[in-house]
Amino acid sequence: MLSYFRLFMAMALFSLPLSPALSQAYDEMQSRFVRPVLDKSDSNAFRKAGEQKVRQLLEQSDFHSRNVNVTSNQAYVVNRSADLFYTDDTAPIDYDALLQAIAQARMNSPRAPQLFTTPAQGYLGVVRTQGWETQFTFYLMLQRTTKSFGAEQEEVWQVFLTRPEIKTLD
Amino acid sequence: MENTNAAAFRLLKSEIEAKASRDLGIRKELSEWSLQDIRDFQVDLEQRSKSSVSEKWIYTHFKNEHPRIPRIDVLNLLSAWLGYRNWDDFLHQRAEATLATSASSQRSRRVNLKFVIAVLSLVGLVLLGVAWFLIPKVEEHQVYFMDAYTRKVLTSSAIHVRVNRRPVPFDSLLVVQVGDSIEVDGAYYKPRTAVIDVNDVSPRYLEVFPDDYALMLSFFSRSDASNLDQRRAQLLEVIHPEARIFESHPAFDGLELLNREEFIDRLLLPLNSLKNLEVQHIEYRDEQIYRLQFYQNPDA
Repeated sequence: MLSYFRLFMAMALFSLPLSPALSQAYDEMQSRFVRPVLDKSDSNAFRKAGEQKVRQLLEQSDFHSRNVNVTSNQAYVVNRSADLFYTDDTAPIDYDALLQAIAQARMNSPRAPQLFTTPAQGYLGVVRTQGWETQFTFYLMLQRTTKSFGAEQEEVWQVFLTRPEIKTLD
Repeated sequence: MENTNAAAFRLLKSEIEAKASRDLGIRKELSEWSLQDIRDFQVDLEQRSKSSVSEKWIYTHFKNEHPRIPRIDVLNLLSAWLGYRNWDDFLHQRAEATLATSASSQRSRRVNLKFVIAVLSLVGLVLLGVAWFLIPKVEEHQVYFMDAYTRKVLTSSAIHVRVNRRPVPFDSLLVVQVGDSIEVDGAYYKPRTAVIDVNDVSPRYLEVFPDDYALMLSFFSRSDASNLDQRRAQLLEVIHPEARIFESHPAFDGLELLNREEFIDRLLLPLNSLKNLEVQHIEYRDEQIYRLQFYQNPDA
């Protein structure tokens, strides 16, 4: 009986509202995503987020190539890859082809490529792979997008990849 | 017997010394008596006892330690000068007094011994009381292991536990002592170590984080993505609908803000980035994950 009481007390403790200090830390973290005007530090953080999305795409290509015989898994990865990109109807992206191209480049040079991010007019930046025979380029687009948090909806800044380019190096 | 008489004669001499000091004003030890002191004593002895001792006798027995005690008639004379009837009376009274003193002393010693024992016992009790509070006690602590996502208590079927580097059998409750080092891991849980501190509450619920990468690897090796619904449903249950998930970075506080569905999507692929996902902090509301901060560990 006592142990049940202790378990209840522990669960009650865990269920307490956030402490003011922790809430403040999360509020500060959230402010980057909702403030109307971004500063240099925000831009640098979002460029880093863009680089991580490129790395994620490279990894997903590996999973895509390992599931050649499981089409449902490949379709799942294609959908997940599409989530990383901003597209419009004027320039659709063939994600299957893109993932296969990345997988092929990885096969030729198993070592993970280096990523370089540079400024690009009209974009947050541009990320290029280096170290493979094929160079992949992804532009970074920063956009306010509506996200649902339960019943609440909020516009937050989010980085997307766009305009993928594949270039075979001589 | 010789020794007893010699001791008694030394006692007699000390009484003569005291009486001479008191009555004759000779405030010296017998061995230091001057010729005048000796004559004053002889005169007084003559007046009180109608008899006396020679100067040579005094030099022999008072100023030096003679191996033999004086004759009995001289001892009777000196005893009478002191107020006793004779030497035997002196011996009798002094023996009683000595016995009485000895008995009194023994009584006193017994009383003292009882007192000392009582004081020592009290001090001992006080020291024990102080030690009870000051010396670190070997306290037993109860530890439960809890899935950080589901908040469910884990059993030995899901995790392995080592205490001080030794595997220990347990069901769901582990009993350890202060200072013990606990290592826990499992096929689908990330390793974690903890040391039981004296300030820890008991029972302590030690959170263990699921190894999502291992879980997803298992899912995809056993089935295909269409069967991920089971894991997705499980995650939907443990993550609050209004949850805000922050991806952070060592150099930046926040890189991306994810809602519940986006975070679950991140967890449902066995990618290296998932393997390197480190949960930094979790807050719960209604026993569900309400705030979570994680980052991709570049060194993992």
